[in-house]
This record gives sequence, structure tokens and C-alpha cells, in this order.
Amino acid sequence: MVPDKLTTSAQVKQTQETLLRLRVALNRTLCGKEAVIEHVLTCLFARGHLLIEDLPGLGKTTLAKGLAQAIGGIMARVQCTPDLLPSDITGFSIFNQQTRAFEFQRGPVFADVLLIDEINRATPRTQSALLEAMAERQITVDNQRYTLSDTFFVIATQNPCEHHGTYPLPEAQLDRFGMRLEIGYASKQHEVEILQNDVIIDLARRREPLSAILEPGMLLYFQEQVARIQVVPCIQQYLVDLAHATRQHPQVHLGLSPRGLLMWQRLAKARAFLQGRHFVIPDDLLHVAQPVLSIHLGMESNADNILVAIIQSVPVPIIDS
Amino acid sequence: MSTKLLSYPGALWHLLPWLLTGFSWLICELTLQPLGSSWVSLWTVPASLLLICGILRWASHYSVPLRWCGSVRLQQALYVLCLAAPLLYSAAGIKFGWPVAPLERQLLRGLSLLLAVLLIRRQEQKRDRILGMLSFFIALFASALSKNPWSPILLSLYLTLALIWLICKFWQYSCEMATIQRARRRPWGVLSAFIALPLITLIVLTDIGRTIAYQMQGFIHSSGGTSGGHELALDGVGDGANSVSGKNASSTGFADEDIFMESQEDSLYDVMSEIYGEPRTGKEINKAIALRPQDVAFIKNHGVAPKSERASRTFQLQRSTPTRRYQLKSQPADALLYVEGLTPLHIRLATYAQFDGTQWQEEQPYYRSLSIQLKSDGWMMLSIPHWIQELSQPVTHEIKIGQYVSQRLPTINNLAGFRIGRVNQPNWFSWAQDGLLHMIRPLPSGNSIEQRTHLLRFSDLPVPQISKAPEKDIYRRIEVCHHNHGDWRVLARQWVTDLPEGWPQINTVIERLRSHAQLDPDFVLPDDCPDPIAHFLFQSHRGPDYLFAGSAVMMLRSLGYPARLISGFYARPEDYDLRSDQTPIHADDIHFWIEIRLPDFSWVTLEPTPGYYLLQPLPSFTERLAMLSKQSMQWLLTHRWLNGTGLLLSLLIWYFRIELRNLMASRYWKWRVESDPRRIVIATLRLLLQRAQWVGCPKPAHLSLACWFDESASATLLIPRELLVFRQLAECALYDSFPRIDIHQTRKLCEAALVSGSLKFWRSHPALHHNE
Repeated sequence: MVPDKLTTSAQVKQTQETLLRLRVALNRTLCGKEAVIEHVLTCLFARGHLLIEDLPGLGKTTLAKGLAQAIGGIMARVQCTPDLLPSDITGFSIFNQQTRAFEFQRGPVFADVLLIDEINRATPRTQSALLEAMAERQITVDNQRYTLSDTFFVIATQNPCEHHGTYPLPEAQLDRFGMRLEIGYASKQHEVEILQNDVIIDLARRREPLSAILEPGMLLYFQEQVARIQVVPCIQQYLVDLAHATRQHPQVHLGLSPRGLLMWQRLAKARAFLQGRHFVIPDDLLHVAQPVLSIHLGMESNADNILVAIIQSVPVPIIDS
Repeated sequence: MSTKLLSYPGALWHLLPWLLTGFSWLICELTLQPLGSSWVSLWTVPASLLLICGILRWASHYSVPLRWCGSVRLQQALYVLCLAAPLLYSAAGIKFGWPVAPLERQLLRGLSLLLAVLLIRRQEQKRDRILGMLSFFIALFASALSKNPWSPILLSLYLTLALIWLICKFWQYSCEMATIQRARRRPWGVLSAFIALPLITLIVLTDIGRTIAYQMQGFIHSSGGTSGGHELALDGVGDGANSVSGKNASSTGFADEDIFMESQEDSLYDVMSEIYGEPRTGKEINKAIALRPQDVAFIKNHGVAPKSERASRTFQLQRSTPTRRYQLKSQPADALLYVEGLTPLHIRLATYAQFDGTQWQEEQPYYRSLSIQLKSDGWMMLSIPHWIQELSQPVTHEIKIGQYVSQRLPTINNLAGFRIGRVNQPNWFSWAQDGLLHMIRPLPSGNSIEQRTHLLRFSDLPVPQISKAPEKDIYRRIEVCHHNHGDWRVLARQWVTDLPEGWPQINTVIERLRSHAQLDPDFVLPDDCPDPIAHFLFQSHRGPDYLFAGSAVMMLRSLGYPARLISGFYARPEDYDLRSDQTPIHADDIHFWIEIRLPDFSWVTLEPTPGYYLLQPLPSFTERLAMLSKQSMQWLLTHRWLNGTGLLLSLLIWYFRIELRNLMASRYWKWRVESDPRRIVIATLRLLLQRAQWVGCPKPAHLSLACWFDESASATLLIPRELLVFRQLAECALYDSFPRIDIHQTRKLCEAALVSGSLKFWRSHPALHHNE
């Protein structure tokens, strides 16, 4: 049973235990990437969408599948190619000769977790089909509006190395993502662990898939709890100052948009929730700053240095009175 | 002006405020520079540096931080220092007797310095506004005072730029507000009209060479003076030379200007009412107007008399009884002379050349003709040796005649020129004696003689300029009766033994004489004294000034130097009247001194009487610095125990400054009564941050508390558990809207954090050792 609000310490404890189990399950799926998993959960609870940009074979699909299984939702996967059509994602209407009517065949977008593999291989037309779904959690086909899952979550991947036959994501599309993450190679120790797991429990896991950690409706409940996290005015002012700093930096040609600003606040709240706090502190903002700003800002090279410079240019609100 | 400027706030947009500031600063400098004093450039140097810093700051688009002006307290101290430095300089000048500029000049100097400092910090909007207002004030204030012909032009440019800036700013704002495209057309017509016309008009109509205050007289309030009577005075301030002061308002006013009323008392405007009484209006007054026949016919034809509604000056015949509160009466002078200018001053009235042993004979009228060159402004210039002009400093004095009415004019040594009102007849003047002016008729009371002279410093005189004169020279004659008191000629030779001839010997005689005897104005020589000088030098060792002067003349003559005795007035600096800016000279200011003749027949004044001083040229900046250091050293030595104790205490306080501050802050934290746990946590956090700052490892502004602790921990600083707990408490207090904190527990945690986060803990911060 899902409580309405975290009111008692027992409920808080129960929530933390659930989150811990979720972390453990995902860590088992993607070995040695605790920080990435923390960001993924942050993005999930903040109702954002995730863009994973990394080389092939680093566990992007595994992570998406594991997340879908852990939250107990339906997972769908779309492998993007240049000939992929928007209807391949959203669905299409077919004529039923028996009923003499058009029937809508739902596409993969109606899943809880949608993995869009190599999104930059799809044509801009197909990429645009995702705009409405990601921003408003609904799609419109044949003038008919269809509502998506309340916990609709997009994990898109793209390969930064191969550029032949790809279509870079437009800024409008990028702005609808909450974070851009890089998984990166695991350490030697974790790679050994990955190999051992593959030998020992491969067969067992194939037979018995990962069970759902969250009860039905629990994800939505967590997302509502995140929305209730407090943000004091000085933190919001700090956030706005940071946004202004991104717009004034000479090497940033596209500053943080208001949508990006809202997303940053939601992600900071989600991070505070994951840390077991009911209020946001500056560290929450700073913790998610890199993945948020890297996707919402238009920057030239040395993006990391620019982000550091921007963050260092704004004083953290400590004592303002 | 480019389209870019009007379209978005680009680089030019940033340049405009800087240009405005630069123009106002330039106008200020032009106003302050004409004085020509060396110390003016002293202020120009830091102001220029600050301005350059401001330009660099602008040029680097704020990306280059100036570390030295980064500290807020340093900036605040700099602002205060900028304003206070010129005023402190004035105070020091008054204390140590330097010439100081008037207060408005010092204020202008301070404001210009402040302007330069603010320019550096102009990236903040708040300061931008202050900067604009300050530059506007300085530009107007300085222009009103300036006599430089470039000032009106610069002011025109300043106002033009300011207009451009304001119009662009307003247009930009209008663009943001306007939704109709038509409203966004650039206001080129308005810009042209508002910029070009005032600029051309102002430049064409400005009478270059005269001050704006002069141009505006009658339109703005002023204290009236416009002739620059005082060399340091600017228009309207300290310029009261043209005023005639009286006991009451009826006799007070300006000679050349309109009547000026400063007090609440009646002015000259009220004299008419005082004499004839106040206007009175009766209950019913029948007026009779004499009409011409044609006027009567007009009234008959039209039925009514023509009316006149035009304003006209009236004088009412119906008046009350005159109440004459004041009887107009003369205000006789209460002094012989009034000196306006630098003091002390020796004013010649008579010269004496021959001494028969008991009495001095006044010199005969001078035989050399007086060659005067009349200038257009009324000054009558005399020829003086070229070397005096080079070595000396020109000064101007104004001597107003009081009770002293004589054909023999009071004259100052090294006279280069003089002016008496509007007198333009050089043939009215001649030499009464060598260096003493004579006028064809006595100069009446109330008239002034302006005298332009050259001040010589004794030490600056070239050595070859003084030489011994032949014995037949009138100024070397010695008539003495030998007696048994002692020979002062021997004494003079003893005083100058082993000294080279010339100024060293003269200087020694004068200095020895000043210290040899004591000034006693009431001393009277005995009747049977055969040689007053010998009696004075060997027996009494005291006497009035004429004995000092007479002795000096005779001793110098005995050494071969031509000298003479002078009688006249001595203007004492102690008698200076601040209100009238004059030094009155009374009968008891009669004084005797001496003069030494140079080979070119010019005279150098010397003062052998103790307590009397010569007017020295204004010291240069380096001399003033040396004087200041010398006086400071004297003061330090005089109060050595007090200063030593103060220094020791200061050193101790400086050495233990951090501990003392920490002690006071900790005591304050402990003693303050606080019931809000959040405030307690914030106060504790503030104290912890202050401690870290005091020991030299302040928290970087961009780091959060957790990041700061993490960084410190990664730098091998072991953060105590109490501090980590306090960090969470602080985060709760700072960022939680409704923190649920227990006050007792909070106080305990805060106390524990303060104990753990002591000065000792922060001093062990690795960042400190890393810096070392």
C-alpha cells in the first residue's frame, strides 16, 4: 500500500529501504557504476528523460532493461535507423475489415520505459515525433490524442564516435531531456566481477528475470514526494544566478532555458529525496549540474572547464542575513 | 552612433558611461589644475592610475579580476579614503601652516578620486547609478567653478553624450514595452534635435575665458564676487574684496554688484521704507487723475474710462509714520591699515641710512626717477632685476588704507607692480625714498593699494649676489664713540670667524643676534648711555626691536656689508581676521627691521628681532614633506613615552589580533540572548567561517559547506565529528523552511562545534601550510 505522504519516521525508513533495494538491484545490473545509477534514479524521480551518450557495449541497453524491470513497468525498445518512421514509434491506425473501422495500433511509446537506441540515426522527422511525447506525455495521431503512462521515461542512447549516416539531435529535442550521461568503462576490478557474474549466474538469470522492486504505483508516489520537496528562496535565487551566468558566459552560445531551469530544480529535488532530505541544499544543485548543463547549454569545446568556471563565478548562498 | 548601439547593449553601450565618467573627470582636472601648485599633480597620479584600472577593467570585459580591489572592506576603506584624503591634507595644512585650497576644491578633489575608484567597480548596476549621478554632479560643479576655456566645450560634449545615453536607454526600454512595430522606429530625428542644437548653441554662445558662474549671474544664487580677488578663491567664495561691510544692513552691500543680503536683517531695499515709512492702504481712497480734453471726450463717447492692466512700478503715497530704527552713520576705520594676503608682512614707511651713534637719520628723497609701465588692467608695473623674477615667487597683497592717510604709501620690498583702484596716471607717483612710493596726494581712507611683489628665500640667493661695499658708501658708514663697554665690531668679527663671506656671515650675525638678546618693548636706555648698541649687546642684553635692528645694521656694516634700517608696519599672522580675510594693522604694529643692499641696488629684507618673522615663499611639495617629517619626529620625541607605550600596545594588539577578535566574537556569541535555534545556528556558522577567514583559509564563495569540508578532508584535514554534525544542522537551518530543531540540543551542538572548530583547528588547515 502506498501512503499519501511521508509523515512518520517509519514511512521514511520504509522509503529509504525501498530505494536501497532499487539501488542494489540496479548496481547488480550495471556493475561498478553507482554514480551513473544515482543520476538515472534522480532523472527518473524528477520525471525527466535521459540521454546516454557513450560507446557501444558499455551497458546502455542493459541499464534500461534493468531499470524497467526494477520499477515494474513495461519496457519497449526502438532501434533507430534512417528508415524508421514516426508511426513506428507512436503507432498507427489500420482498417479492420470486420468492424469496418480504423483501429489504432499502439506503438512502443506507450511503454513505461522507452529505450531509443542510437537516436541520432533516426531522421529528424522521426526524432520530432518524440517531442510531444517527452514534453507532454501524450501523442497525437490522426487528430486523436493519446495519453501516455504517468511514469513515461525515455532513455535514449547515441554513439558519439560514428557520425556517418547520423542526424544530430536538434536543440529543441535536447532541451527536452533532463540529463546527458556517460557510462564509461568499468574499472578492472568491476570488469572481473562482470566476467564472473556472466559465468556463474548467467543461466539462472536467464531463467528467472529480475523481479520488480517497486510496487505498482510506487514510482508515481515517489515522483509526487519529490514534487513536495522544499526549495527555499535563496536556493532558487542561486539557481537563477547560475542560469544567468550561463547566459553571460562568452563561450556559451546557448544559455540555460527556463525549461532547463525548471528541470534543474526538479532534479535537485529528486536528489534531495534520494538523500533522504525534505529540502534542497546547494549541493543537490551542484551534484546534478554537470549532466544537466551539458545537455541544456550550447557550448564550444572544453565544456567541463566552462561549467566549472560558471559554477565558480556564482557564490553559494550561505549566510545572507 | 551606430545602429548597433541602439539595437542592443553591446560594447559601445558599455563604453558610453565610461566616456561620461572620463569627461566629468577631465572637467574636474581642468578646474583644479590652473592653480599650478605642485601638490595638485600628487592627486592626479593616483586618480589617473585608478582611471586606467577602470579602463582595463572595462576592456577586459570584467574577466580579469583585480585582486587588490576584490575585498569589500578594502573597497569601502578606499571610498572613505578618497573622500577624506584631501580633507585630511587640508587639516594637516592648517595644523602645520601650509597653504590649503578652499573647501570646495578639496571636495571636488575627493569626489574625483571617488569617481575613479567607482569606475573600477562599475559592473554592478547599483554602482552604475551612483557613478552616473556622481559624474553629473562633478561635471556641473566643476564647470561652474572652472575658468578654463575647454570646460564649457567638455561640458557640452558631456551633456550631449549623456543625452544620447538617456535617449538610447529610454528607447531600448520603449522597444521592450512596445508591441507595435511602428513604435520601434529609431528616434533619429529626436536624437539629432536634442543633441546637435544644444551643443552648437552652447559652444557658440559660451563666452570662452569666463566662468559659467559669471555667465549665469542673475540666474543662479551666488555670493556675488566675480573678479577673483583672492588667488585661491573661485567665483562667489572668498571673493569678498568688492564688498563694503558695515554695522547694519543699511550700509552693507557690494560695490560693483547688486545688493546682496545674507542675513535676516534689513537690506538696502528696505532703506526706502525705513526713511519714508511702510506703505499703508486706507479703507477708501479716492483717486484723482488729471485727464486731457480728448480723454474726457473718449470717456463720454464710450461711457467707460480705458483700463490699464499692465504691471508697473508703484510708489504708494499713503504711508505709515516712518520708523527710523537706524541712523545712517559713517563707519570709521578701526585700524591704520588692512592687509589682505599672506602674512607676516613687512611694510616700509621710512628708511634710515645714517647713524650718528645715538640717532638714525632718515634717508633723503630718492633721486632716481620712477619708471612705470601702465597696463590695460590698471596695474602699474615697475622694473625689477631678472634674477629676482627667476628665483622668487610672485605674490599679491592688497593694503586697504584705514586711519593712515599720507602721501607716502606703505610699500612692500621687491615691488614689481601696484594698482590703486582706477588710478591710471603714472606721473602721480614717485620715490619718497629708495623703495618707498610717494603719491601726489594723500590716499583717502577706504582705498586699496594692490601690490605685486616677489618673495625671496634667503637660502636661494646666489652667492655672488652679495658683496662688501666700499667704506665711503653711505650704507657702510659707522659713527661710534669708543667707550669701555666693549667693541661690537670685535664681537661681530668673532661671530663670523672662519665663515666665508657673504650670506653665511650675514645669516650668522642675524641668527646670533636673535638668540643673543631678549625682546623687551618696555626697555628704556639710560640717559647717560654713550653707545646704545654697545649697551644693548654687552650690558642689558634686552631691548625693543629698534635696538636689535640698529645693532644688526651696525654689525653688518662693520663687516663690510651695506645695510640700512627700516621702519614700518609688521602685519602679524595672529591678528588675521577670518571673517574679513584681512589682517588689521594698528599703531602698536610699528616695527624696525633691516635691509641688505645687493650690487644691483635691490634690497633684501632681514629680521634680526626675535619673535618677528619674514614672509617666506610657499614651500614646495618636497619641502613640505620634509617639514612634516621633521615636525612629526619632534612630536614623537616629545611624547616618546606615550608613543612608545602606544606602539608597544599596538604591536601586541596586532600580533594577537586574531585571538582578540576571536575572543570578542566568542564572548558576544555566548552572551547574546537568542531564543530562535535557527539564529543560533547561523551565528555559530558565521563565527566558524570568520575564524577560518581570520587564520587565512576562508571558505571560497563558490563552494557549499559540504564541498568545503570535503575538499578540506581530501587535503588531509581531519574534520571532527562535531563539525560534520553541525554542517547538517546548518544546512537544515539555512535551507529548510520549517526546521524542527530543539533549542537546547542546538545550543549544545553549536557549542561543541565551536570547541572543535577553534582557531587551532583552522590553523592546522593544509591550505595554510601549502601556501607557506
